[in-house]
Parts: sequence; structure tokens; C-alpha cells
Amino acid sequence: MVIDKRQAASGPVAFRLDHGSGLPTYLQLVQQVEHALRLGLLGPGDQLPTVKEMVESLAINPNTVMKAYRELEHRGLAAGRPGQGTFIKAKLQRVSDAQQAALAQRLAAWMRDAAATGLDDLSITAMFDAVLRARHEYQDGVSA
Amino acid sequence: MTALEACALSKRYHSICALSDCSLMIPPGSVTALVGPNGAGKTTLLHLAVGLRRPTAGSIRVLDGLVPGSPGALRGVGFVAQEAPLYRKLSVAGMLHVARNLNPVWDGAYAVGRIDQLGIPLNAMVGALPGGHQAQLALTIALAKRPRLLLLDEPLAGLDPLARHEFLGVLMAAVAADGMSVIFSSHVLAELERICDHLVLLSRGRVQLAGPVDAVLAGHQVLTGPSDRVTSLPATMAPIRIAQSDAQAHLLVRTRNGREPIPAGFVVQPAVLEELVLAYLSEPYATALPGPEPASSFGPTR
Amino acid sequence: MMRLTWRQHWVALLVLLTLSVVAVTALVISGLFERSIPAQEWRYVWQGYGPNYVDLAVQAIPLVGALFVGVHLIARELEDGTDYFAWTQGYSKARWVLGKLAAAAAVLLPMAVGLGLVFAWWFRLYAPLTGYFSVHAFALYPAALAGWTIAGLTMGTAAAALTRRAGRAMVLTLAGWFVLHHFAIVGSPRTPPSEFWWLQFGQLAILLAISALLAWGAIVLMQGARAKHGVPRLLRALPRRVDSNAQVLARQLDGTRLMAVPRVAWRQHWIGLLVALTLLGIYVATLVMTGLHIRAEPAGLRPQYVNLTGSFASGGSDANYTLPLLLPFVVGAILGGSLTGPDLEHGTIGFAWAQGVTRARWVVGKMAAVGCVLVVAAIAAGLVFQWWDQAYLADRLSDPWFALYAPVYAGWMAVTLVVAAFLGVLLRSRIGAAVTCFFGVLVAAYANAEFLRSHYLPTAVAVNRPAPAGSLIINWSITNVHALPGAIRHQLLVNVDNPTGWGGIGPALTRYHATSILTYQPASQFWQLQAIESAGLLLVTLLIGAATVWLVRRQES
Repeated sequence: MVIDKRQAASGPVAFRLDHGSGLPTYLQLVQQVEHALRLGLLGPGDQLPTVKEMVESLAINPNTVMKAYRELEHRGLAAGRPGQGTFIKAKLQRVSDAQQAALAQRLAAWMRDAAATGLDDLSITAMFDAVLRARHEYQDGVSA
Repeated sequence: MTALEACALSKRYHSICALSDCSLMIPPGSVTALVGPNGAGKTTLLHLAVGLRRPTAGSIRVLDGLVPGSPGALRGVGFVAQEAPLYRKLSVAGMLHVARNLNPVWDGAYAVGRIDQLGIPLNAMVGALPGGHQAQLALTIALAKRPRLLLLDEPLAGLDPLARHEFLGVLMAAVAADGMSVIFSSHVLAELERICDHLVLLSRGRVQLAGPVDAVLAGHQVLTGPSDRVTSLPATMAPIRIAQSDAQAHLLVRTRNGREPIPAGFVVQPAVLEELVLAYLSEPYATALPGPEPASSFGPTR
Repeated sequence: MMRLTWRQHWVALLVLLTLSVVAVTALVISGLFERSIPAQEWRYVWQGYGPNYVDLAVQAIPLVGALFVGVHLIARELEDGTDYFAWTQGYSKARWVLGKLAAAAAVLLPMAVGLGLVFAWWFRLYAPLTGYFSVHAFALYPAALAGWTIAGLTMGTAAAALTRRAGRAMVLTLAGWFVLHHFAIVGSPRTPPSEFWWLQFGQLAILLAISALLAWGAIVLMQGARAKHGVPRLLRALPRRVDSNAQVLARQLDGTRLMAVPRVAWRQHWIGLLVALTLLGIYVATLVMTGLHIRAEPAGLRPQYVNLTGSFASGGSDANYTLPLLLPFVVGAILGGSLTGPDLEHGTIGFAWAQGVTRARWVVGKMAAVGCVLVVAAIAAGLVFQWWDQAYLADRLSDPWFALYAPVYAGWMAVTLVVAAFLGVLLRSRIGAAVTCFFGVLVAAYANAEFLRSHYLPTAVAVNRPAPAGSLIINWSITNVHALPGAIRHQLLVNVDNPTGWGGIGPALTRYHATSILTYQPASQFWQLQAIESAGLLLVTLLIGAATVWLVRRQES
């Protein structure tokens, strides 16, 4: 088994893109950084991979990475230091295990209601995606 | 500031019109995809930009007004032709030596380092290398001259998926590091979407579509609705392509400002790049050049 | 199979046929002209049978056939990789090789025989004077010419089978051709003419035997070979320039940008240059050895007329004259064609013209780089020849000696190189350019030697007097020559430019009412003539070089 060491060199976070999903690439990057923050893999002062390293390993346009970093700056999570790179600025609230369990329970209850009204799995997933997308568009609209 | 600017560019070979009346403006630092069916004129356009051919009418300028083929342009423009023409009787080291001497600026350390990294032996004959390695060698040579504009003619053909990913990664790294502009012609639409921020569609020697990808996508929508309502669309929503069955129809339309009211009975979705490109390529007479007044979509162009 | 071979190699075959037709036409016209002179007026036209250009050209046709057809029958397929296709079709490798050879021979043999027959008719006028076995003529009669053609073809094919690369095979064939020529049996002037046809067919038989051996060798090599790109172990010892020092390559900017394109040219064409220098070197070495040998002999024993190897017997192969004279044309044509031809043929201009130098600089740099090396080498060879010639200082103005002196030798080398480069761009083919250039420039050189050279400077006329020693005889007519007794005629012939031997010829002429009118160029004008010719050649070189640059700039890929 070959472990791709190139990604490991750029920090603790290994990025993975899903081009088939409807989510824009830059948002996927933002999400993965936030996820890493929540899991505690990244902390304040840690450096995010340079734009060059990112595009080399992911084969995406540099503008996409820059857009993602700008979004992180906008959300107050990261700050760019000229000539040095982009560094994490803040901590994200860790979602505790108890909170996660409570949310999962509420989701299961909602799903039971949805199935009871006659929606199948596919429709449930479609509804979930549509609402999530609308939420992001709203957020973008608010922040734009 | 432009990486490439073409003004009413035409190229004719005897009786064949390879390009007619093409006008383009590509900003610096962008990664542009040149897409079109075979014979659309992509290779001709790239050859005109390098200076291997001369236009029959109109003009083309690179890197802020340089004439292709002039010493300044030759210094700043890198080119990898189709099937990576290299001197097959030379060794890899010999090839690098030739390129080093023919270019005023040459980053030899980068070239040798990358060749090493790819595992290509320096004393192998170029003609004996597998096709993928030859393409990588050609790209390395083009990158080592530190161009400000890089033109690639179907560079991904003949590369396996891993090599393609790695090739594009190196390309993007160079764009990120130096602000290099890249124009490459390709057939592989899936990779275009994450690589390119600019798009040029050529069909039958004419420019169908040219502009930033974001703007292009924002300017189009897909409407889905009942077939019998197709004709009732307002005039401002000119459909590019209609995919129709007995009951249902999908229409790709161009929107002027994106805020027109959706006709009753239709659902709107944002356009996807691949779908959009395919639609335009299958309707050769549709054009959408950027500008305040988009051209009419149906009927032959000028 | 035959048709396929003809289709694949039609360009080379057509060129050869055209050249043969041109040669035949020239021979016929010249022969008819010579025969139209009335018999009473015995006009011994010295230049009419310019000994070293006419049969150079005719003799070169089978050589060219060997190089450009014989080699490429197999080499092209091996290089392009189409052997993968050819060897998986319906026939065996032996049949493939033999079929190709048969197809080429089917075209070239009739051509050679026809050429030989025309030459035999043409030469009949001169044979009584120069003998059947001297001055190259032997190899040009039909039987021998046919034999040389077949031998050349099979030699080329065997070389290609051995080296698997066209360039190296052509070099090997060229070397083999000259070696074989050197050992060809041609008899001596003392051999009676009755044995002529015996020896002709004898040579044909020997050559056919050699051809059969070579063809068998080619088949064996092909059958043992696997279809792959690569150099057989035999030739892997040839040096391949390996830049293993990566630090050398990692330099950022070159200090001397002026030498950038020449450096590239030398790297690309180093094999051709090495071969050219080796051939010139062999020539120079021969000169030095024989020159020292001749100088060791006391002056009285030196013969008046000797061939280039300095051997005192008058036998020996007459190829010795052709070698040094042919060299500038062969070398210039092949190297010049490969300067521009391959790039345009294979499309690598897509790489070369998209780098950091303009097209004009690229082509000028290439021509200058290779041209300078060749011209310097040619001048050196010419200077050594001048030293060698000091032993004789006779007959400097006539061929081949005039053309072997440094200025003119280098001049023809430069002209051939530049013409081949021009044709390489025009025809987009290395082989086409080399062949066309070789024969074109050879014809021009012959025409120049025949018609122009004698008229660079005003000529002098001597009536009933000999020409001074060392003059170039342009025209000599003797009225009422049949009235002269045979002894006087012979004396005339031998002493036309030898005032001391003229003796009693003057009074004899008046007695028999014969008049000798001699038009000549005096030897004192030798260096002026050299200067004029080399200046003219330099001008032609510059003009054609400029034309090449213009053509390159106009090219569309």
C-alpha cells in the first residue's frame, strides 16, 4: 500500500474534493477547514497550505483556493500574513458529543415524520440538499 | 493588460476557412479553455498566437500588444504543440541542452529537477520514451523558459489519468507561483471545470462563446417544464437549446440580468458547464459574446 | 509488394530516373556535337571530355541509388516503426527484403543499362585516345554499371539492416562503396582491347556475387532482429553524447548568447560533421604520406604524370581522383539537407520556431555553424594539397587540380551546403534536398569548369607555337592534321604545353601546311583565377543564404 506523502507535507489536514456534488469547490475547501477546526486538528497559529501546494496536489485553479481563503478570512477564521501565508486565527466551537447525539435524535424523529407522510429516501435526500443549498445562497446573499 | 487579443482574426487556406472574424480578449493570469469540435480552428488559433502562421485578415497580439513571432513574444510565450514534437534522435539531456540554448531565460535547475522527479532518465532517447513521458518533457521545457503565456494544444491526449492529474497540478502550481496565463485546448470537459476560469468556444472557425466561467454560468439557466408551454416564453429568454420529449422539456436559456420572472409551470436550475458547452457545440450558430448587447442566438452569424 | 515499394519510394526513384535522363540527354547532345566536327579538322578538345566531372556524375548515380534507395528500403520502416505492421502481415521477412530489392532493381537496372549503353556510344570517340581501361570509363559500361547498381542497392540494404538507422546506414554504405571501388579490378592501359568484354562481365559476376552475399546478410540480420527501436550491440560502442553533469545544464543564462544557436547546431549535427572531417582527414593523410614518399625520390625519377596516391605504376583504381573532388559535394549536400529538411519534414519546427530565437537567427546560426567548420576543414585540406602539388607544379590549371586548391575547394563546399539548406526548406525533405543539391551543384560545377573558368580572364592565343608550361588549354585546332605523319602527331599531342619538347614541330607544321591554333590560359594567372572563382562562389553562397532566410521567414508550418 502506498501512502501519498505529498499531502502530508502540507499540514495536518488532507483535503479531498468531490466534484460530483453540487457544492462549489471553494466551499468544499472551506467546509473541510471548518471540520478540521471542529475536530481540533487545526488550532490558532497553524498555517494553512500555500496556494501553490494546494493547487499542485488537487489540480484546481488557484483562484478557487484564494476564494476559499478569502471566505475563511471573511468568516473570521483565518488571516493572511503577507509574504508568509494564511494562518488560523480563531477557534471554532467544538461540538460536544452530547450535543451531536441530541441533534441526531431530532433528525431521526424528523425522518420518521417524513416517511410517515409518504416521502421515499430519494425525496428526503433531495429535500435536504435543496434546503441546504438555499441556506448557503441565503448566507451568500447576506454576506455579498 | 491582455494576455491575448484577437481582432477580426481570419485565416484561410486556399479554399478552406479555418477561422473567420474571431475577436477575443483574454486577461492575464487566467486559465483559459479552448473548446470545440475537431476542425473548429483551435490548433490554427494557437499557431497564430505563437507565430507559426500568419493571419489572412485581422490581427492577433499577445502579452500587451506584442506581435507573435517577434523576439519579445518568442521570449514570453511558451508553446507545446499537439503530439509534443521533439527531436526524437536526441537524448533527453540533449533536448534540454537545445532548449537551454534557444531561450534567453532558462531555469535549468527546475527542468532537471522535474525530469528527475518524473523518473525520466537523462540519457534516454526521446524517441524511445513512452508517449506520456514525451508530453511531460515537452511541458517541462515549456515551463522552464518561464513564459508569461503558455499555449498548450491538446496536452492531455495520451496521458493516463494519474499523469493527467499530475500534469494539471504542475500547471496550476506554475500559475499560482508566477501568475502565468494558460490557454489550452482540450476535449475533456470534466477537468475543465475545476481548472479553468475562462472559456472560449470555437465552432466552425467562429467564436461562439468567450468569457469568464463564472459570468458565463451566471448568464445561463436551465428551465424545466411542460412541452406545450415552450412557445410561451418571453422574448428576453432566448433559448440556446431545447431538449424535448412528449410531455417535458429542458431549455437552456440565456438571461440578461438573471432576475427575470420565471414563467409559470417552469422550474429553474443553474446551468452546469458541461451541459452548457455541449448545448453550444450542438448548435453551431448560437453565439453569446460578452458585452452590453448580446447577439441574437438563432440564425447565422455575421 | 512491388507496387507498395514503388509507392513508398517513388520520390527517390523518380529523382534518379530524372537524373539519368538528364545525363543521357547531356551525353547524347555532347556526343552528337563532337561527331559533327569534320574529320579533317582534328580538334582535340581538351575540355570536351572533362574527365572528372562527367563520369563523376554518371558514376555517382548508382552510388546515390545505393544511398537513397537501398538504405531507405528498410531503414525507413525500421525508424518509423511500421515494421510492426509489415512483419505481421502475410509474408516472411526474407520475402519482404527480397521483394523490396527486386522492386527497386526492376527500376534501377534498366536505367543503369540504358545509361551504360549511351555512355559506351559516347565514349567510343575517346577510347582510342585514352584507352578503355583508364580514367573511370570502365565502370560506366553497361555490364559494370549494372553490377555496381545492384551491389550498391544490396550494400545499402545490408547497412540498414545492420544499423537500423538511415543516417548511420548511409555513412556505412558510402564507406563501403569507396572501399569496394578501390579494390575493383580495372586492368591497365596495356591490356589489349579484346579482353575488354571479358573483364566487364567478370566484374559484373563478382559484383553480383557480392550482392547476393549482402542480400543474404540483410535477411539473416532481419530474421534475427526483434522489431524494436534500438541500436544493435555491434554499434552501441559508437559514442553518444551524454550530458550527465546536471550542473552544466542548470546554468541560468548563457554568457555568450551569440554562440547559442551554433552550439545547438553542432550538437545536432555532430555525427555528420565528424564523418565529413574523417573523410577529409583520410584524404589529407593520403596526401601527406604520398607527398613525403614522392619527395624522398630523387627529382629525376619522378614521373610526369601520376595519380593521387603517388604510385608510380599507371594502374590502380581510378577512383582516387573522384574521392577528393566528390567530397565537397557529397558532404555539403547531405549536411546541408539535414540542416533544414528534417525539421520541416517531421514538424519539429513546431518546437524550434516557438522557442526564444527568431527563425532568421535559427537558420543563419545553423548554416554558419556547420559552414564554418566545413570551410575551415576544406581550406586546410586545400593547403595540404598545395604542399603536395609543389612536387609537380605542372598542369595546375586543369581539373582536378584547380578545384582541389584551398580557395575553390572551400568555395564549392560552402555553395553546396547553402544550396542544400535552401532546398531543404523548399522541398521539406532531407533526402530530396540532398540528392537534388548534389546533382544540381555538380552539373553547375561541371558547366563552370567547362565553359566559364577559362573565360574569367582574357585568354591568349599561340599559333604554331606551344603553350607555356602549366597552361590551361582551352581550345586547340589543327588544320590539315591528316597530312602530318604519325610520329609528329604523337609528338604534338605530348608536348602541346611543353616548350622544351616542341623541338622540330614548328618547321614540320609549315612543311605539311598544317596550322596549330592554341587558345590557352597562362599559368601565371593561376592565383587570379582562383581568387575570381572563390569570390564568385562566396557571392553565390551569400545570395543563396539570404534566399534561405527569406524562405524560412515566409514558411507556414
